[in-house]
Amino acid sequence: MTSSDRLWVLGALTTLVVGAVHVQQFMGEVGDVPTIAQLFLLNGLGAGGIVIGLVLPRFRRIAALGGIGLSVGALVSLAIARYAEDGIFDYTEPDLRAPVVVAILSELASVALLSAYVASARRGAASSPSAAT
Amino acid sequence: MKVDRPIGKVLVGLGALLIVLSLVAIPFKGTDADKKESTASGGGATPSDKVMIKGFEYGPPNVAVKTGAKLTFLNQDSAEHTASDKMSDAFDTGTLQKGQSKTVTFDKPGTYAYICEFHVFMKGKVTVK
Repeated sequence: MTSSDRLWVLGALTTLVVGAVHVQQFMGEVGDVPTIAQLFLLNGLGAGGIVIGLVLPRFRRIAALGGIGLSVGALVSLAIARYAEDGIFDYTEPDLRAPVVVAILSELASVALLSAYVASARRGAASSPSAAT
Repeated sequence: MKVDRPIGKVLVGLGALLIVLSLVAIPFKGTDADKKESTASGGGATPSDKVMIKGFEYGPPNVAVKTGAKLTFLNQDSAEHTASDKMSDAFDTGTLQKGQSKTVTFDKPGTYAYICEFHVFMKGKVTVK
């Protein structure tokens, strides 16, 4: 397994955690919160699709970009919910609950790993003989 | 679609499982945005001395107490909540962490609508007779 492969595999695993936390919260407390519940569900569905996309070489790079977008979107939404006065869709997250901490850590790891994979894939493409011609 | 590496097969399986779990969860969770509002505003008030806060809902959402009676708000969610009357400032539990409760005494008859300051879609009502 190359270092590039390790990056997307670990990125897929952290994206799985991101999705799993959101689905778990959807099935639990957050499932009845207007708008937020649907967004959590979409996060879970999106994460599942991105993981499958990462496995397929043809879609790997676009799936990696999707994974970065998913995690960045979740982090930005959480920041709004935590620091904006009205939160996001009237939902605020003032305290760092355990699922929130797990979500933040997995999202940060996902962004770092998938960004590193995209950068590595781009470097690989640039240095390949076909790119030079 | 060809997935030849064992790790790839495992990841496809886990990704598919996440999608299936998400889809299976939908019927079990109400994603009806109007549910809380309708339960808080409609129907008669339920006599009770306790309001449980669970799943981002007050239960019962519309409670009846007698003048001078005490009403306890208990937060069972892992998220912080309040029960705050922002219209008449009649009462405010302040922030309730998981497992925390606050008891409020209602000395004046009337109807008091309250919300959670952190999640304003959470609505409840106290009718004091």
